[in-house]
Amino acid sequence: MELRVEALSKTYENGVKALDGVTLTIPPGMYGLLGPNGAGKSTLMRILATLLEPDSGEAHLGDINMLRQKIEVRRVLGYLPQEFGVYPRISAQEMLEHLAVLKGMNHRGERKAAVEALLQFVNLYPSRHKRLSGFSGGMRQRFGIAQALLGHPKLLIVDEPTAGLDPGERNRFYNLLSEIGEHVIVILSTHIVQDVMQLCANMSIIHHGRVLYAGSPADAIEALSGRIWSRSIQKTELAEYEIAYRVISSKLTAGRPLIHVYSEEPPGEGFEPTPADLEDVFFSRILQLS
Amino acid sequence: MWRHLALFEIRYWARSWVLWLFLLLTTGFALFVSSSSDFVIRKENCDWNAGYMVENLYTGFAVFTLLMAIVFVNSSATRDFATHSDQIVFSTPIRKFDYLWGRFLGAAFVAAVPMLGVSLGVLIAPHVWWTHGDFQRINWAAHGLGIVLFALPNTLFIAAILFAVAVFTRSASASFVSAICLLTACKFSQSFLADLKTQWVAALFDPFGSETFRYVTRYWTLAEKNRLLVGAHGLILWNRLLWLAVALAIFFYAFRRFRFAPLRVRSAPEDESPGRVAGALPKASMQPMRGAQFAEMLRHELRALARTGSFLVILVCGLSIMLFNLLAKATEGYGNSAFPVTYKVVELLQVGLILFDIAVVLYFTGVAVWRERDSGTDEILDALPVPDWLSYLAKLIAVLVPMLVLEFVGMAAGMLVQTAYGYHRYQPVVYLVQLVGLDFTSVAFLAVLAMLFHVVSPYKYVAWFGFPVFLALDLAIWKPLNVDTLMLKFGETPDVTYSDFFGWQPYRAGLIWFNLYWLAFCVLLALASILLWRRGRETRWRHRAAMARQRLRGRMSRVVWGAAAAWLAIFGVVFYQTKIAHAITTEKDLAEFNARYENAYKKYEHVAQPKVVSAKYTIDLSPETNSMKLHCEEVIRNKTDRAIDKLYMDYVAKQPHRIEVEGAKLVSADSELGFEIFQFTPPLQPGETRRLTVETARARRGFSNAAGDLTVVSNGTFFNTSVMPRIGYHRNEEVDEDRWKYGLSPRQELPEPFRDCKAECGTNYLERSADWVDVESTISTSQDQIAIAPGSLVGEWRANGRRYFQYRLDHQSLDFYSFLSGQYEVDRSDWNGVKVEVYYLREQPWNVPRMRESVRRSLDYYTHNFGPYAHKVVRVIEFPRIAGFAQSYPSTMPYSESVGFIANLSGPGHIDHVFYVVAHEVAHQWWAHQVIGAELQGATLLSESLAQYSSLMVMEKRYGRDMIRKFLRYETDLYLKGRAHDKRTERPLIAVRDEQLYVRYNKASAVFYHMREMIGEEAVNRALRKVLERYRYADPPYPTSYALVDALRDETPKDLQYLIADLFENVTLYANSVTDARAQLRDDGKFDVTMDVQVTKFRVDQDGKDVLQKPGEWVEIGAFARDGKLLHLEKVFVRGSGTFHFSVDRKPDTAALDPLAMLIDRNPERSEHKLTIEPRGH
Repeated sequence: MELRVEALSKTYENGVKALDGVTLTIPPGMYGLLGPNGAGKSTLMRILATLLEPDSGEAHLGDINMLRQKIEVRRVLGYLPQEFGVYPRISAQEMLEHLAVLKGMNHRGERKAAVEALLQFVNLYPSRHKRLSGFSGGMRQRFGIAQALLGHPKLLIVDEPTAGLDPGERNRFYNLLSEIGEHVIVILSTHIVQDVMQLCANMSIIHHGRVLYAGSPADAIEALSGRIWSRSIQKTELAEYEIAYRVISSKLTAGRPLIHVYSEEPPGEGFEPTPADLEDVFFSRILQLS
Repeated sequence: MWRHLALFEIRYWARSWVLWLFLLLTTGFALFVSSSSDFVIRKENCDWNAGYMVENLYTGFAVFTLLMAIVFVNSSATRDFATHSDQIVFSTPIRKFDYLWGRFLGAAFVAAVPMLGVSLGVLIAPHVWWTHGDFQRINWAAHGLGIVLFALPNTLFIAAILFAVAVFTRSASASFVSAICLLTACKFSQSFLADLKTQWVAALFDPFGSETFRYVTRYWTLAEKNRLLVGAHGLILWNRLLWLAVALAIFFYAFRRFRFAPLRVRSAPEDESPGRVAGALPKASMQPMRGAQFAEMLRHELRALARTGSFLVILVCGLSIMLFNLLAKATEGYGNSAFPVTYKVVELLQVGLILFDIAVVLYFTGVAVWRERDSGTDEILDALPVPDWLSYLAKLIAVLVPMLVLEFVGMAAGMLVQTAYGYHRYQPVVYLVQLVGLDFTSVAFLAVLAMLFHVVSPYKYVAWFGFPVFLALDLAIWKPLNVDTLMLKFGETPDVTYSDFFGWQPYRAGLIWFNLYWLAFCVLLALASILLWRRGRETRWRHRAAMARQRLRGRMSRVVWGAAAAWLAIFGVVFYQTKIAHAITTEKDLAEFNARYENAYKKYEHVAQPKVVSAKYTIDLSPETNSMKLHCEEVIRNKTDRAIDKLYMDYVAKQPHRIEVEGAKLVSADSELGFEIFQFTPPLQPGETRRLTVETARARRGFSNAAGDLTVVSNGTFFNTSVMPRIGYHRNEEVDEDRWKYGLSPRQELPEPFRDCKAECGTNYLERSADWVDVESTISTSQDQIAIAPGSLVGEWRANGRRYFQYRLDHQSLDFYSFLSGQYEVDRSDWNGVKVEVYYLREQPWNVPRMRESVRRSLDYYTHNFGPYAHKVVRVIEFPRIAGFAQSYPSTMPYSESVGFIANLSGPGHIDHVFYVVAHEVAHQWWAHQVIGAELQGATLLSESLAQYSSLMVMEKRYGRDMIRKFLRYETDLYLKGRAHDKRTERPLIAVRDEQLYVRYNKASAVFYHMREMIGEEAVNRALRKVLERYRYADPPYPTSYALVDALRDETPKDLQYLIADLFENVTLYANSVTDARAQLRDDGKFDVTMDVQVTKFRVDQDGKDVLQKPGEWVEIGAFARDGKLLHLEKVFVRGSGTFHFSVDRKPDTAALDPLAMLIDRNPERSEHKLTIEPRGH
C-alpha cells in the first residue's frame, strides 16, 4: 500500500498559497517532510489527516480516495497535530481510554492493556491518574504520541513530533517509529535535518508549497558530493562572502562563522572540500542552487 | 494612578462597538416601550413619558444592566488572566488599590452608560411618526432620579458582585453563574409580595429596587402617576442604602483577598526519567462500532458537564428556585389557601424550571459544540473514525439529559410537597404529560435550534448573542405585523389548560399536530447541523458547503428528503387546519370586525324592538363529538305603543344558524358580520305577539392555533344564551381601546343615572331584548352525564342511548340562562321546601358541605331580611377551569373548578372565600334576578354591590367580625390597586362604570359595611326591602342607582347624612393615623387605654386631584389583644384630631383607629399603634 498525492493545491482565505501542485508518492516506511516554517508541511499533513479540504488535486491511500472516503482513512490513521490541547479535568488514562473506544477498541481487556502499554512506553504510567491540564510541555507531547499510536495505525502522520522532548525521549520515540515504520506508512514532518537523515528512507523537501526534492536522502547527498566547500571566516567578512560565493549556510564554530559554499569547482583559497550532508541538501535546494 | 487605570478602561470600551451596540439596544427598547401600544409591557394608564414611567423603566432595566455588566466587568476584571499578561502586569510596581479600584470604577462607569439609553428612548418617543401616545413636558427630575436612584446604584451593586467573583475565580463562566444566582435572589424576594403583611419585606430586600418602587407606587392613580415622582426617602432610600452598602462590602472583601499572584500554582506531576526500553505494543482488535462510540461520547459529554462548576451551581439555583416556589405557592390562591392539586403544582414547577432550562440550553449547547475547539483537542478528535452525526447527537443528548432528569426531580419534589401538605392524589400522568410531554419537548426543540446557531456561528459569542435575540424577535415581531400563527413562533404549541373534567381532550389534536410539526422541523434543523458540522480546520463556506454536499449522499440523502417530505406533509395538515379550516382571528382582526359591526349597526341600538316573553329550548349535546344543536321557540311581543315593522337579529358570525320569524320576511342578510333584518308584514302592532324560531349548532373538528371552540367539551360543557341568535344590536362587542386605530370616534358612554327615569329606563343592563320571561328546556346529553338548564326538573328519561332532561322555570326571570352537562356527583338537601343541590366532580369533594352550608345560611338571611325566594331549587354547579369565575343565572350558579372547589380552608383564620362566593351568587337571586338596574351608569350598584353587602352579612353571622376585618383589608387593597390601574378617572359608586369592577365589588364591600356600622343593619335592610318592594319583577321602567341611594338616605339620621355624599356620591379617601397609644393596668385588673388619633379626609375630584375636606365625623376606635381578638369597639366623633380613653378587660396589645377597616385608607398600617403598657399607679 502506498500513498499517492497528485497536484494538491490549497490557498487560504488570506491569500497564502500553502500548497501549489504537490505531487508525491509515499511508500511504506518512514517518510520525512522537510521544510522551513511556513513551507506547507502542516497543510499537507492536515489534508492527509482529513482535516482540511484542498482546492484541487487528489490523494489516494492504496484504494482509498482520501478526499472522499474520509471515514475509511480515519480508521487506519494515527495523527499527532503540531499543536494540541487537552480537556480540562480529565486524566491521561481516562482520555486515552476515551480515544481508544472512539477508535474502535471495543474489548475492555485489550483496551486496558493497550492503554497501559502505551502509557508505559511514553513514560507517563506513574502520572496516569493526574490531570492532563497539569502536565508539562514534554509530558503533554508524550501523551500526544501515545494517542497517535493507539490502535496500530496503518498511516501515521506526526507533525513535528519531537518538539519539547529531551534527547533521550527523542531517541526512544524514533526507535519506536522505525520499528513501526517497517510495516506502515509513517509521515514525519520536521525542520531538523538530522532526524530525517537518521530515520527516513525517503523524504521530500517542501518550500513555499512546492516540492523541491523527492527521493532518498542518500541520493540527494550523492548529488551534492564534491560541491560543498567550507571555510572559517571573520564575522565582518560574512557579507562580502555572501556576495562573492553561493553561501548555503553559516554556522558559528567556536565563535567564528563557518560557512558552507556551493560550487562545482574549488572556490578558492582557504576553502576545504567537505562531505555533503542532508543539511546542505536542504539549504541548497531551498536556495535553488541544485 | 487609579484614575489612569479607570480612564484606560473607559477609553478601551469607548473604542469598542459593544458599548455602543448596548446603548443602541437600550435606546431602541425604551423607545418602543414608550412609543407603541403594541408592546406588551405598556400596560400603564398614565402619559407615556410621565416621570413615573421614566423611573419605572429605570427600575425595570436592571436585568439588562446585569447582562451588560457581565460583558464589561467580567472582561475588565479578567483581561490580564485571559490574555496571560498577568505575570507581566503583576511584576510592575502598581499598587493593589490602584489596580482594583481603577479597573472597577472604569468598568462600572462603562456598564452604566448603556442605561442612559432609557432616557434617550423616552426623549425620542414623542417625536417618532408611529406614536399616538399622550405625552407631557419633559420631566428632567424624573430622568435624574431614575439615574441616581436606580441606574447607578444597580450598576454599582451588580458590578461589585461580578467584579468580586471575577477576581476570585478569574473565569468567565463564574460570572455567568453569579448572574443567574442574582436573578434567583430576586425571585426569592418577589415571592414575599403575595401576602399583604410581608410585602414590605420584598420591597426592602429587592436588590434592584424595582419591587420597592412597585410597592411604593402601588396605589398611585392615573393623575398621580402623571404628577408625582418617587424620591430619595422612606423605603426607597433604605433599600438603596442597604444595597450600596452590600456592594461596597463585597468590593472591599474582594480587595482584601486579592493577591498579585497566579490563582494557584499546581506543579506538574513528577516526571519519571526514562527507564523502559520500547517493546512491542500489545495487539488489539479494532472495529469501530457506532453503539460503543455513541455510548462513550455521551458518557464523556455528561462527565464533562458534571465536572463543570458552573453547571453544578446552575443546577443548585434551578432546584432551589423550583423548591422555593413550590413550598411558598403550592397552596396559594386568593391570598388564601388551596389544595396543592397536581395541575397547580405542575404549573409552579414549570415556572421554576424555565430559568434553568433556558440557561442550560443557551449556555451549555455552546459549551458542548465548542468543547473540542476550546480545549484544542479538535484536531485529535476530528481525525478519529467517528461519524459526524454521532458527535452531534451525543452532544445534543448530553445537554438534554440533565433537563430530563430535572423534570423527574421536579416531579418527585412536587409529589413530596403534595404529601407534606397532606394531599394524596398525585396524578403522575399529569406530571408526565405536562413536564415531559410538553415542557421537555419544547426545551428539546430550543436545544436543537441553539445547536444549529452554534454550528453555523464563526464564534461562540455570536451564537450566544444571536440565539436569544432571534427568540425575542420571533416572539415580538409577529403581533405588530398582524400575523398570528404558531407556525412561525419557533417551538410554540397551543396553550393548554388541563382540567379534571376533560384532561387535555379539547387540546389533544392541536398539541399532537403542532408537536409533530416542530419535531419534523427540528429533525430538519438537526440534519442541517450535521451536514454543516464543523470538522477539521476548514472554515470557508465554500468548502463547508462542498463538504455538506459530500455528506448528503447515500443514506443521508434519503433521510434528509424523507424528513423534508414528512415536514411538508405535516405542514400541509397544520396549515389547512389552522389557516383555512379554522382561520385565526388576530386581536386586530377581531377589533376590526367589531369596528365594522359598530359602524354598520350602531344606528339600530335604540330603535324599538319587540321583546321576548317566553322561550322553549330543545338542546342536544354530544360530548363525545364536542358538538351540539340548539333549537329555540320564542314568543315575542310588541310592548311599545307604536307598530314595529323591522326585526334586527344578531348572531355569531360564521356559525350555523337559522332564524324564522312568523309574519316577517328576510330583507337583509349580512353573513360576514352576522346580522339579519326582517320586515314584518303586516307590522307588529302594539301588544301583538308572534313566533320567533332560532337555531344554531356547534361542532368541534380538527384543531386550530389556539384552544379553539370550547362550547362543548367531553365533560363539563358550559355555555349561555349568547351562542344563539338574539334580537338587536349588542354594545358589549364594541371596541374599547385604541378606537382611533379603527377610525372610530370616542365610545359613547351609557347615560348618567337620574331620578324619575322613564323611557330611558326601558331596558335592563343585562339583556335588552326581554324583560321577564317563561322558559322551558328539553336538553339531552350522553348516557353518563347530567345536563342542567334553569328551573325545576320536571321530566327525565332515556332514549336512543341518550339521556333527556326537562326543566321549567318556577317563576318568570331575566332572559339570561346557562346550560351545562357533565359527569357529576350531586349533593342534595332540602331547605324549607327548596331543593339545594351541589353538582361537583368526584375528585373534588372537599368544599361541597361548605357550599351547601353557605346556600342554606344565605337563604336564611335573605328570605328573612329581603323577601321570598322565587324558585324551588338552588343549584351550585362546577365547571372546568377554562374560566375562573362564578356566575348567577336564575336558580343556577355555575362555579369554576379553580375558584372554590380546590380551596383548602382547614387552617385557622382563613377567609372562607368559598362560603363568601356562594353567598354572593345566591344574593344575586334577589339583587339582579328580582331587581335589576336600567341600562345606565351605576346600574351594578343594585346588583353586584348589594350582593357584596348581602354576602358580607351572611359571613359576619357565620364567622364574626374578626373575619370581616381581614376580608375588608383585602378588599381595600384590591380597590386601591384597581383604581391605580384604571385608565379613566374613577367614578363614585352611584355612577360606577360597568367595567370598574374595583368600585362595584371591592369598594362596595367597605362602603356598605361602613353604612351598616353607622346606621345599623336593620336600617340598611329596611332600605333594601323598600327597593325590592317597589321593583321586584316589575315591568319597566327599571330602577336606577338613585332608587337605592335615596332609600338609604331616608334611613340615615341627620348627623350622618354626610355619609351618603362621602360614600356614594363622591370618591372619598382617608389618611388617618394613631399618633400615640398607651395603656395602664388598673387595680381591678382592667386596663385603661389612651390613644391620640388624627383623621384626615379628602375627596378626589374629576381630574384625580385630592381635595382636603372639612374635619368632623364619626369613626370607630378600639383595641386588639395579642391574639388578634378585638377587645373594644366604640364610635367617637373626631374633628381633625383627638385623644380618647377607654378600658378593656384583658391586656391589650394594639390600639386601632377604624379597627374593622371600613374606611378607605391608603396607609392602613398607620391606623394601628402598638400600646406601651405603663406601670400601675402613675
